[in-house]
Amino acid sequence: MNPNEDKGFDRQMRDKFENFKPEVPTGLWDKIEAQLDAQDGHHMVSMARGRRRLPTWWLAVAATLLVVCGMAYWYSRPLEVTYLQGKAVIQEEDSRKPVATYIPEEKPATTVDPLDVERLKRLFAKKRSRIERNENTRGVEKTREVAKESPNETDPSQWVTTKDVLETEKPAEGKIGAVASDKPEDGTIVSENVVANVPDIKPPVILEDEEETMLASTDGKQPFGLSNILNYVVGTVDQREEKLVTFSNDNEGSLKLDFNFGLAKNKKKKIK
Amino acid sequence: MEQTITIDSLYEGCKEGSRQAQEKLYRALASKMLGVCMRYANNTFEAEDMLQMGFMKVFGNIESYRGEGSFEGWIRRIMVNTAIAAYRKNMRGGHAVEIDETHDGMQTFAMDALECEDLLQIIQTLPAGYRIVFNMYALEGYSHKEIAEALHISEGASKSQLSRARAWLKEKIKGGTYESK
Repeated sequence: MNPNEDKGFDRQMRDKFENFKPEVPTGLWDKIEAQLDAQDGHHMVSMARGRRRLPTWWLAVAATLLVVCGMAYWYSRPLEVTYLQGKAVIQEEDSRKPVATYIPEEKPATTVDPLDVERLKRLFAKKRSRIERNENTRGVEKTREVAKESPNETDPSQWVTTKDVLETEKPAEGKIGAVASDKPEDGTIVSENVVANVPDIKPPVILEDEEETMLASTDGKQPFGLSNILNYVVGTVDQREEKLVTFSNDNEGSLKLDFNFGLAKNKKKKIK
Repeated sequence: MEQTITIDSLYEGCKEGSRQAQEKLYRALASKMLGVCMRYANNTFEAEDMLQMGFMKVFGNIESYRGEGSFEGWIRRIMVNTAIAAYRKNMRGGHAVEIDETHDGMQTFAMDALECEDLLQIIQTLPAGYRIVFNMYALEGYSHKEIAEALHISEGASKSQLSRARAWLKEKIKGGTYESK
């Protein structure tokens, strides 16, 4: 076949269909529109799904992180708490016998007592008054416990004070017994035993001082606690003498936060 | 010309998903595109399905129009692609019709004397394989290479199918303008 013929034929065909515009059925646009609407709806649904799906994935990650952090905190924090509690438990258990057994051994050391007592009394006079104000009856109870507990300290440095306490405790027991008698507990038995074994050497007034001393010593025992670290951090940020936030540890191992709102207000004013 | 400007101006609206712009585009081009689909389809119903599918593709893939060539030309190519997809689908279904099965009983016309509808009727009786190659090469201007790629056939097959389609059509249009030339 002749190629030119073919080209002519093709052109003729093209010309024929050039303006070929058959009638479009009227309902076709409605079909297309409905299909478009359905597609838009589907798009929106799928987008919404996508939006919902992503957060759940992140939620799972966040939850896992939270659990891990929580566990890490749980295993690190209790060290402090159990240490304090552990003391208390051991003290309660052991205080009965040890107090009685230690006393005879430490009798010779009594000669040192008057000096120590006098010194300690002077040193902690301020502290005592403060503690008395703050803690009242609870403080008295606490001191009694502390005095009993001290012999079980594992810290060697504590043994020095323990000795002192034990020495002073002998007479103290009489007073403790009196205090404890108000509330009949384990303590009363202990104190009674002590009273029976040990003669009264010091006046009860001094004993109170001793107890306070012990309380002070337990307080001073936590200079490397969390509160000090936090205070140090605050100190590095807040260069002023009075810090906006100060941390302090409780006798029971809980952390106290003190906000100085006066400072905060001043700061704001300065900014203005 | 005026219409082309209108169609191009509708592009932005369609891109933003404006239903009004989409409808305007449809109203402007539906008839012309149905004419394209008719040449590829076996019948009017199939052509209308192609048209609908084609417009859905146009609206759904409007962002892939890069501004190369006219917007109308792009839409037309989409219609042809839709037709090609339909052809392939039919081929898989085993709907290929042998030439000898259908040409019986067909009348022959002189081309000039033929109305578009009549000519279309002849084209629609062509076996699908011949018809699509003839449409693409003679009426759309694709090369044999392009046709071969689109239909997953060899270039040689495309050429032979084209010549057979021509022969078949000429025979049907016997005695018309073509013959008198």
